[in-house]
Amino acid sequence: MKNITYKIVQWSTSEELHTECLEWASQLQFIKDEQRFLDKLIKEYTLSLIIEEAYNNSLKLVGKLNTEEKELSKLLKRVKDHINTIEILQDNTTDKLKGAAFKEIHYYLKVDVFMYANKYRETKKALFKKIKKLMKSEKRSHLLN
Amino acid sequence: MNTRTNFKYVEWRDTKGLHADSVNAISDLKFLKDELQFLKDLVAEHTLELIYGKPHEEAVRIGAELRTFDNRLKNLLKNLVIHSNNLQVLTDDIDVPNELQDYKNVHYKLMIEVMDFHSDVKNAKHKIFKMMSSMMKESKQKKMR
Repeated sequence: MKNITYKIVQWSTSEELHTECLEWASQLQFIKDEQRFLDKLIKEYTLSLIIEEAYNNSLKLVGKLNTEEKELSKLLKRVKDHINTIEILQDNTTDKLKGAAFKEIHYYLKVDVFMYANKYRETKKALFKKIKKLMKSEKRSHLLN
Repeated sequence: MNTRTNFKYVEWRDTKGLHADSVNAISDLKFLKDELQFLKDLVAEHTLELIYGKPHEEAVRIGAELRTFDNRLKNLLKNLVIHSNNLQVLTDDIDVPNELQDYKNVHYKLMIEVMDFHSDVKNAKHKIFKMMSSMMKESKQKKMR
């Protein structure tokens, strides 16, 4: 796969690669916080969720969020492990093969982080829509009581 | 979803890559627009008031902060669309000296602005997570009493 992203990884200095994986870690950590928050929000609206007609659909959506949360933990671990092996690049005595392997892994992680972020974005979009609807019905029932 | 390390490569980007950058940034911002709307609804005073029984100072503050993002996002989006359309000027047959370099300078500036914007929104989101989480906790305690 000799696309531009691959080439950029190959051309990057160890410092740039290091910065990049630290950024991934921070990006994923932020998503983790956000997912926790979304979990809480969903819990807050559980009752309205249960009485909602499209209950099954909501359940599927919540399940998707949970699956993605598990995936995130794995991805974050991979990024952290990767960061821990960065010395391979900084050490001048390292043989070339190890350095090349590091960059190879870096490229695949880069693609995975990007794909994950896009997938999660779609889930988030669907969740926003759902929660908005639940907020509305919650408000209505508050007004009626 | 571009990271800082990619900016150096603005120098090496061909027109196709520059176009891809703009398209990605535009799509990210369009998503952010929906997200901001959701967050605004979420912290909207009346919703919180109805559910938690009192207006929340912090919510008012965050709401105001979120509204300042609207204009920034609108301008940024507008500039990016113009910038992306300007790419055609680069690919036409009329050669203007330095046109590619000028285009890249604008490109670089815009990409930094997009990044700053995302980072500011992230900070605001952290505030929202914190505030709403403690509110939800409070309301749960109230219900249990």
